[in-house]
Amino acid sequence: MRKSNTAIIGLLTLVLSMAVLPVAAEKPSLRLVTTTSTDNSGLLQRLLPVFEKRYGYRVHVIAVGTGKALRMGRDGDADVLLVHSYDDEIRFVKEGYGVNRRDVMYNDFIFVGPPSDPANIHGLQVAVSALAKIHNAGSLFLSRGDDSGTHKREKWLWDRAEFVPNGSWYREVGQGMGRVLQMADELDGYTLTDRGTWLAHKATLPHLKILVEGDPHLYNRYGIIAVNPERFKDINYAGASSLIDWITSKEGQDMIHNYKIGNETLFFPLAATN
Amino acid sequence: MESLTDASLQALSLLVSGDAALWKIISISFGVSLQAILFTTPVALLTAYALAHFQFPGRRTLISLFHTLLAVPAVVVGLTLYLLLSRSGPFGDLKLLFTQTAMVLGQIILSFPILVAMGHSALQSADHRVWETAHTLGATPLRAMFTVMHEVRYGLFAAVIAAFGRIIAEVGCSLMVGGNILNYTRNITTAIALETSKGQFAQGIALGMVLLLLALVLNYSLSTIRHRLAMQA
Amino acid sequence: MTSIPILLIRHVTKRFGERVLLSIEEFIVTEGSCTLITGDNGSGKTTLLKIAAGLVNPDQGKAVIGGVEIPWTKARPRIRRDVVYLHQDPYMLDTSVERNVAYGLRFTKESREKIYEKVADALRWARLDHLAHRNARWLSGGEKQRVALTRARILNPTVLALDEPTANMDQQSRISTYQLIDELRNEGMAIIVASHDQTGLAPIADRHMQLIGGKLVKVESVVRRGKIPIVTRFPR
Repeated sequence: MRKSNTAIIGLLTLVLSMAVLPVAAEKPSLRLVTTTSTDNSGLLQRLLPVFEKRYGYRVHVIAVGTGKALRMGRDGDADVLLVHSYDDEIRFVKEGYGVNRRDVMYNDFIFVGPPSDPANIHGLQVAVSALAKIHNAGSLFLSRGDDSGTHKREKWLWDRAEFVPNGSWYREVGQGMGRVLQMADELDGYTLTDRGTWLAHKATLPHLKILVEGDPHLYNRYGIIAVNPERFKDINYAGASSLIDWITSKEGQDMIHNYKIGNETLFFPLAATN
Repeated sequence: MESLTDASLQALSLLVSGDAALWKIISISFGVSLQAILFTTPVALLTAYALAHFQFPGRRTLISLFHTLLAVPAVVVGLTLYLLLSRSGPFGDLKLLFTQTAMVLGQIILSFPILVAMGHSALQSADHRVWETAHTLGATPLRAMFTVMHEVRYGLFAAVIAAFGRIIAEVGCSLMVGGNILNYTRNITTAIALETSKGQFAQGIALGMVLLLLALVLNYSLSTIRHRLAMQA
Repeated sequence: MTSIPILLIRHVTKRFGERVLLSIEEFIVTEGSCTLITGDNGSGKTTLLKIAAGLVNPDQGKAVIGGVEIPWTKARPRIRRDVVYLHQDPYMLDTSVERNVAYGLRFTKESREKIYEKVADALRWARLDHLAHRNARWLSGGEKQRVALTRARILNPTVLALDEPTANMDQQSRISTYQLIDELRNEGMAIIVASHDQTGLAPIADRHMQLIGGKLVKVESVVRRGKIPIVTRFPR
């Protein structure tokens, strides 16, 4: 009886390990860390399969806040970064953590809120005025509160408006954009969001609409950076370089330009054309 | 990444220095969970007593039901409550979503089955002579109930401690219906779950220490109670 | 002892499923009497006592109060107040002897000082004062019996229903218990005792009944006061 038990266990182990092998013997992987809003937009789901097929890599996308993304790059937990925080990116390269930074595209931030618009910001051309009005009216405003690219932009705008948001109307949520939008929809609050996440979630947000857009202060510039291979031994620098080359090539940039959600273009190519 | 030791030392200094943000989070956790347990305990214990004392059709099914509900994961309770309280749900007009009240409601739902199931076990184990003794000496049914509960008080304390332990440490429900809003619905568990993902390890570790200490205290109390129970027998 | 009935119940039946636990036409307890009820296990002794104490409701039954026949539900509160039942192995509340004895008085309107005065007196009467602060659960069987009796006596019940009070006791403890029962009767309480111990109790009982299969079969009404050997009242 005991002998046949051992045999069965041995057989199962063999079969299971064989099931694992084909996966392990697959294409080399490339770790791309990006922000939650970029991931939410769905752009990468459109782009990366083409890249993977062309270059024979398997891209692992890790979506976190900008702060964590840069940290991961510093710690060597990723091979390539796609983020939208220009000053931080430049500093990242300057401090020797990354190499070969290239502009990729830009999109924009928008203010959304309840159609009743208690702070009366609809149609304003200047983002800073919108924040000032919200502050003065004490209308509910939901902030990412998580040091993400969106949150940094929001803080930058508050600085320029010369207000420090404080009070029960200002709520820091500490979560991703999708979740913040969901909460704004539930609570009839204002929030600052990137257009991509907004378009992707619009259908499930019946109580919100776009109130302010178009101010150049709301433009959001994306950069791609390879993690410095000289700092860590097992960085896939080849893969990172391939991705950077491809995404800034005509083919990559065209794909970015053609990516639409419900007939709306989300991202505008920035890389110098060939 | 900053070393674990550095973050831990920082955590300790946050705790000792009375860092306002940290202690606000801790007070929200305790506030919510204490409110929930204060509401649930009398209702659950009365229910447990009714189940132990009265005979009625479906009694056994009800008891099994409570034991089964013990296994419902916090996040499932959170999701169900979220759907009920959302604007598109039946109770949206109450505007309870993303408030502390919603968190308290969720924790009431989580703690109720534990208190009923364990309370019922404790009351079942009560000597059947207690009720008769109380009654014949002049106690009304209500006073007799309190006497029975007093006789099995250690078992009931254990039930309350177990229930409190569960809700103070749950994250699934608080996260879903609370929303982790700073100074409002950000409690120990949602802060640990979400804030550490931004690299805020010192705060996370500090909160973890508080929760760990609480868990140790609760468990120590439970084992002391078990000891007393054994001595009583 | 007079022949004034202080407890009169009629047509009392109690079943458990198919089994008839008790079926009696009439059961009377007169003021200051001592009734001994014997019978095998399962003959219905405990059931009768608990019904007489208002702890268990019969399936059918009526009570007669002041000469008027009253439905059970109306009579029950009165019965419960007048009769105190003691278990064969009385339950001690998980607290001091003092608090155990004070238990029933808590439901009266008396002040705390008054209550504890009464308790102190009662403990002295029962020679339990040296044990007043000990947890009642740690006492010996005989001591627990005394606590239970004191706990009941302090409420001044009209009737005491004792269920096998001397089971598992040695001869000396039994005799002390009989003396105590006699004293209680002298204080005006009617006593109903269910017991196997015929020989010990028969001398002090005024009446002796036997239950067989739930029915009162033999009724001996004997007015007899036997001689009880004098021994020390309570062993310390």
